[in-house]
Amino acid sequence: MLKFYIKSLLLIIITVVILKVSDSFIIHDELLHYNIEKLYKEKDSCDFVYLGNSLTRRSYNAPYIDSTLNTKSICLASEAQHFYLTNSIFEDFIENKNLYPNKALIITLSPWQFKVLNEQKWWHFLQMSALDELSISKNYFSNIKEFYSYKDLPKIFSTTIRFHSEIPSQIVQTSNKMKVFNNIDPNGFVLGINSKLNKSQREEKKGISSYIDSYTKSIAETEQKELSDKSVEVLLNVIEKCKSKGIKLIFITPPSIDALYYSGEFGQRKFIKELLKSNSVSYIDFNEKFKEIGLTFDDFNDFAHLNKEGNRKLAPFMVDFLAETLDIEIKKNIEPKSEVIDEGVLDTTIINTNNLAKHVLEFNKWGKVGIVSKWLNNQEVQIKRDAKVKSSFVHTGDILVEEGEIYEASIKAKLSSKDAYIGLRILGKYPDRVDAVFDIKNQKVLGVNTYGNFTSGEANIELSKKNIIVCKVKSRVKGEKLKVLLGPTSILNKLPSWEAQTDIKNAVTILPLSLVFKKVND
Amino acid sequence: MLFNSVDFAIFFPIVFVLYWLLSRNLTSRNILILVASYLFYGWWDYRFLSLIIISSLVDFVVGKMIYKAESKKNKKLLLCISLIINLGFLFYFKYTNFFIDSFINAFALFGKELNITALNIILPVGISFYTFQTLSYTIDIYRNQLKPTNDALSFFSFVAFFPQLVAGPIERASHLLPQFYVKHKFNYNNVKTGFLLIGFGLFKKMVIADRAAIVVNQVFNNPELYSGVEVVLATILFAFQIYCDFSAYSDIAIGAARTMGFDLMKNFDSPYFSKSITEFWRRWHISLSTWFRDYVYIPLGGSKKGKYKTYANLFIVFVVSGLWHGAAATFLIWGAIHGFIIVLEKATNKERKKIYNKIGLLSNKFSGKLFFSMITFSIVCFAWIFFRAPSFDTAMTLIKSIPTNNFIIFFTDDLYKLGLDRYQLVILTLAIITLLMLEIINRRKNLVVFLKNQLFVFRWMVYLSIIFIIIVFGVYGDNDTSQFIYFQF
Repeated sequence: MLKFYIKSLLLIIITVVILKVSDSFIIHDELLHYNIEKLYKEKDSCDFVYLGNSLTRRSYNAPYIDSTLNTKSICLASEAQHFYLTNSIFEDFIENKNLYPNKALIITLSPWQFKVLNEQKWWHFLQMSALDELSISKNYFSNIKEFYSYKDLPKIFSTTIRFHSEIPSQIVQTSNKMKVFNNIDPNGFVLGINSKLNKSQREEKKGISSYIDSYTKSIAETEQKELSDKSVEVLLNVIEKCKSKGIKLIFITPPSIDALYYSGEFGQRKFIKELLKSNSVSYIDFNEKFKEIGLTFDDFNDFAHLNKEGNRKLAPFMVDFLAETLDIEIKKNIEPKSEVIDEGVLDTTIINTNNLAKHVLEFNKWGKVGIVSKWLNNQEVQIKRDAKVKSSFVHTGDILVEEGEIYEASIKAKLSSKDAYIGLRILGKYPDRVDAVFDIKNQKVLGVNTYGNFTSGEANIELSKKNIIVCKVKSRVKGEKLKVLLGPTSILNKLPSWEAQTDIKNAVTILPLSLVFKKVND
Repeated sequence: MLFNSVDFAIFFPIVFVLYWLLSRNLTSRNILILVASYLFYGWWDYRFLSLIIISSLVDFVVGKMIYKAESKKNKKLLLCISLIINLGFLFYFKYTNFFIDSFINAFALFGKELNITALNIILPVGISFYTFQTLSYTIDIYRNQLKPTNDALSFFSFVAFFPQLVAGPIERASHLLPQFYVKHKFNYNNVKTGFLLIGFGLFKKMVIADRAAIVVNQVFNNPELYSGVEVVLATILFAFQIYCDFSAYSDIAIGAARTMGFDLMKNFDSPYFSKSITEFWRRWHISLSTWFRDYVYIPLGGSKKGKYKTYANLFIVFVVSGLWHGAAATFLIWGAIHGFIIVLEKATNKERKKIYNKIGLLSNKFSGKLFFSMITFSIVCFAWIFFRAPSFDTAMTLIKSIPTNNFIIFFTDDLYKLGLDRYQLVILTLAIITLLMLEIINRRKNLVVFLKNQLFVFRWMVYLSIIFIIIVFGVYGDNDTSQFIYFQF
């Protein structure tokens, strides 16, 4: 009998060990996991920390906001996250002073984040994905009790088990893949959703304009409806802890179509608004600015979430709100308002110097030939040759230019302590081009030359700020469309073929959002 | 308490350890079994424990009285008391609403509207199983095939024995009851094979049955949305669902009992490899088939009263069997289909053999086996439509839609709109293939013995594989699909 018990125990131990090992290869929600890990490991200070649910991820165009306000954002939101979990993530985060944002903690707030029960399985699974990230926290157990019964035990116990269950497939991924959402932002925002409301959805919400018009008034006229005691408790907990720790707290309700229609939640919206007001917490409900932002059915992926166009439209309003609330100067004005006005005429396949900023924001969409890219943080991307034997470079799409004018391309790169070289090219119709190669260890221009009908090639390199250099190349151009190419190269490569095969699989770190392509005067 | 629940995963190891701690003291051990069994049943609804206790008490007392009664008339009277009480419970809880509905419908045919409403009656889980088990005890005593027990504790434990309480196998007192009188020694191999059976049962239930149920429920609950191959696919999947669901329960029951030194009868023997419906019923729900044979078919006269009476008896047995499964016209039709085919097989046996011999379709050759198995499986599947459909109309809607040509779904994503995505369908298909292969191999070579003779490392790899397949690919949680189908009967 003893033999049986010993063997059984051994079998259980082996099972648990194998499960835990396989768990380490699988995570539910890479966006959250990746960012929590990044934030905790790097202890790199950031300006904004965003908390909340899918609305946080899909509404705020952080690259735009950051490039405009010269800030750094990180998103700790996860899909369908209940506010109790948001509170727990906050609790974990608040324990570590190093992680406090320089400017503000931004939390998405809607009444449905406080819903007590949701019987649907996927909802529980999504809470688990956030819960996984609290495994070392005291909040882990209190949340388990809140969301799951002991009958969910095997699933709570192991991510591997959950991975093979009925979790919505788009949420599930292994740690070595980043394919869940297209155009994922390195800091956890999901900004590349192109799909729009379908015909029947549009039909269903046909009379939306009256809801948009009456939203603010309806809330004002509705009687306040309190959230549950526990919901108020966690909300006040966040507010009070932020006050005591000196963290600027901002609550935001992003625009959503559902919010306009759910009159049953108006009372709670009013309650939230009043509660935050009485506690002197900054808050904006962008549903009140629906019309001003210019949102239409084309800007939504579904009734709750903005799509790519929607979050682009919202971005300048976010910038204005944050700049005003936090008294930040809008340092790098990329004409956000005009971008919204120009919305209808913008063609994403053709880039000109006016909309280049938008294209730059979508580094993930840049052409990549023989290159493996990896975001190191929200600014820096390491681009590395994936083979020695073939050409390697990244390139923009076609940019419309005026023939015969001088254009300059510049890109910031990280100063290297080892030998590292970067090639930069403005390319017209082959062989028209200007090539420059820069030594980014010694801050030298190794060479510059024009070919074909390009003339007057010049290049220079300068230190921008600590560890960051700016590489510039300019030339009088020929043709109507140009591309900018850049990539790691070697000292052994000849200037006109810096992108060709090389002796090592070298890498350089660039700041893609810093790419500037502009017409310069003679 | 469900076998595939966390509750049972906690309950059973505790009972197992306590059982072997108390195994030297027969009374303590049986008290533990009784308490554990009542806890197991009461976990669902403790109020219905009273039914089991009453049923046990009546048969314990009546059994003794029948044995002591001297006149046949008194014995018969006492047997009738037992039958009335036991079947009374069964009829009240299971068939009251069926008869009320039937009356209403019958009167409606003549244009009269009866103002009766169906009663709000909860069907106690497993009532058909333990009622049949206790009835067999009393009937066997009446037939002088069994002596009544004086050991009330053993008898109550026998009736409520938790591994087989709610879904069988329906044990005979002559086989199971004596096992409560003797002490069991811890037998490592029995315990090991018991747990292996539990593991195999969980694989069938959680990996196959509960996964197939998703497609089956989708199609059978929305018959108007599906046609052609979708209906055929759902019906075939239901065939595997019900087999894996029910045989899994039996496997777990037999396995759990075996770990405690008890031997329960075999309930399934690869039924889908049967070459006729007659053979199918020798392999499907064996404990029920033999119960009906011994307590209905034979008392009706069996095959000893002429050809036509035999056919009639067979047909009656299957119609009754259908009604045992559920109080609905669909179950009745299901039973009738099987009864009709069995009668047909019996009536045409000689003629069919002649024809098959002439055309060389021999059942001992692979091609013949395959042909007859496929035919049998098709008939079984057709009957399953009535068994699974929530109503006669639904069954007819589904059957009428079968001829639709929509094979295109195999080349589009529509196949994945039945509830399982590509990944889940692949798992289900592989699991069914694995099951069939294991059954084929097991028929030639006992897999448990085969495994026992293998290297330690290989054996452990098999154990770990079973555990991982269940916990990783199993469908579990609190939902409709995790219930065992036969709980409702």
